[in-house]
Amino acid sequence: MSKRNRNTSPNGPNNGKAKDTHIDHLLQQTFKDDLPPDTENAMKRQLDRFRTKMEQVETDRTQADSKAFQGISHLKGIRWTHFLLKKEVLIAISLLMIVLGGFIQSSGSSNKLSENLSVLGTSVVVSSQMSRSQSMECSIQMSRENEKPLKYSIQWLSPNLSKIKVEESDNTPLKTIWLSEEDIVIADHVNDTLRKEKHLAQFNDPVLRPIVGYLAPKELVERMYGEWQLIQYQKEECGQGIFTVALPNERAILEVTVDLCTYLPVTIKKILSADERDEETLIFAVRYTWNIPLSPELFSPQPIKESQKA
Amino acid sequence: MTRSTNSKKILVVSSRILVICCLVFAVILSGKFTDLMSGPGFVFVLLGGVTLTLMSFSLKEIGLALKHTSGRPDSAEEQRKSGYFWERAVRNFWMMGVLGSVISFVIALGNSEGGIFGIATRMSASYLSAVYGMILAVICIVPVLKIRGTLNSQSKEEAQGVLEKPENNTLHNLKFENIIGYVLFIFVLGWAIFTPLMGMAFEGPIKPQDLFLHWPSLLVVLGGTIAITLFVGNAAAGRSFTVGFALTGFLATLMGFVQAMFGFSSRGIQEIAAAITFILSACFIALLGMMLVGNPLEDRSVKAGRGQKLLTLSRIVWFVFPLVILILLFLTFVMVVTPIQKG
Repeated sequence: MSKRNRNTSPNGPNNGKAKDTHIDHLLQQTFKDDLPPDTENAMKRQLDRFRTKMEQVETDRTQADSKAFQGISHLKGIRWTHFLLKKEVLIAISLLMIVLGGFIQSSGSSNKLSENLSVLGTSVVVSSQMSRSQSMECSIQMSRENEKPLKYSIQWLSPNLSKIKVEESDNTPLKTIWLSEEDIVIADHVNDTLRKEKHLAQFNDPVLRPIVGYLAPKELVERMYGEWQLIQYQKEECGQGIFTVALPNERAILEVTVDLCTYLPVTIKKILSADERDEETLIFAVRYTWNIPLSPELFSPQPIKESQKA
Repeated sequence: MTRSTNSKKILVVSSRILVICCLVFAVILSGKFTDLMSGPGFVFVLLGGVTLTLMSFSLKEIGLALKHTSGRPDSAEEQRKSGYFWERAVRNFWMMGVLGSVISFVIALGNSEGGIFGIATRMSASYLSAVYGMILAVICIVPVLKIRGTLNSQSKEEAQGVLEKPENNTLHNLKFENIIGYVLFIFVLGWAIFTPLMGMAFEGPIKPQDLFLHWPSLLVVLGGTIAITLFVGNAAAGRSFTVGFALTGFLATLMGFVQAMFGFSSRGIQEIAAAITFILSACFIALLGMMLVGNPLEDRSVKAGRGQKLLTLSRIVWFVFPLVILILLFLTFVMVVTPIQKG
């Protein structure tokens, strides 16, 4: 109080000092130390009692705290919580989390979303590669109930140009079909006839119906873009990947094996999904041989036309 | 203000709303913008924005802000509060729109119905939520500008005094309506995520955590946010959380893009897929963290008169980070539908 007065006195330090002395003197005069001995003793006793009580309260609180801590310190978790809530430890944990996250990511962690993205990415590349491919040969072997198995040889000359040969298993020719953007020419070797159709939809031949959709690259790409429901992708060891697709309104699924160098399909297997009782049944398998140079003469319905005229 | 003036104002506002409603209905009935319409997307953004606002403000504050919008005169302090409310509404709708886009984008990738074409169409349609968010944000920015204009017309000293006057020096306690806001927000989020995933896949319903939760991105975003919050300090103010989530989300997406580019150079589709998953999940977690933790805390602390001078940084984060996410979604879309050239 007096210090503050000294510093803040507007009349300088000496004047302030004199004022302080005066106040001290005034205080000594007002509150004289001249209490009667009885009163002084009584006040001392009261003060001692008050001090003892205060000390007792303090001791009780400390004891209670230590008891409470002893009571809960058997729970090791409390100590751990204290330790974990330290700022340095939290920072270390958070940095560890970042490093761990980066490590798991770089080690190739995947979930359903990344699997879906893989199958989507693969199918986009496959359809792009198929659209760019100029020529291809594929064969399909299909078993029929109570009849000889059928063999289909399909030659893709360009994305919109295909020749399909249908034979029985003993190489007896049944039909030859030329498929182009403008029309479809069908040579029936059994009845020795030749006819033209405008659209594949009108051409409702039971022999060809099972393999509609695999007859030309354009068709295959369209189905891949608009119909196939992508399910799963697996990378195989031998440079091949398999992605599985579901067909709309069908119980069957397709297993498309892809060559991971060219991203062109190697085989497409149509499989009837397993029921609780049944096992999976292979309906047919399409085997592809890509980019084999083919002679344009293969696409020539002319000789048959002449024979028909004759 | 007399009674007749009041009823005139109500009539003017009602007629304006009626004209806008007529225009909207005309557009809907014309059928020319069917590609730009998505009922669930709009409902998600609208309800989400409202619940986010409820998380930060009391019913009294909301009511007052609505009254000020209709032109009720009030003190500069109250007007400032209303301006603050509408600014947060702009932010909430904008962020909700972007969150809706991220959710729809991820769900589009999880559902393979309709082949590649179907997936690509759904991915494109996922941007509609962001469009709705932007439209609602633009609607909410009108009261902000109106109130700012009123405040600017007042004397500079008064306005300054009002801006620097804190409501009180303690953080507002969480009110009952704020808790209701949190609950409703989680409900709306659950509805948006669970409903489209029910029974859409060939092999049965997909679990949402399989699509939205990618552990590496969760670890990176949470770890980064905790670290930033601890370094910056004052976690209760919420700003460190907002900035932390945004910065770590941005960092994680950059990490994902580096991995994706490596994938493109090595022509590894699975690596690219893992990187895209990381990016999408990081964006989702960072945005959700900002909306659930950072923004409500910051709103309450600003209302209590803390950190108003540092709001510029938060504003940048609120509006720029969602925009960055939208750009990233577009780049992801391009990466997904662009075939890697082989052979």
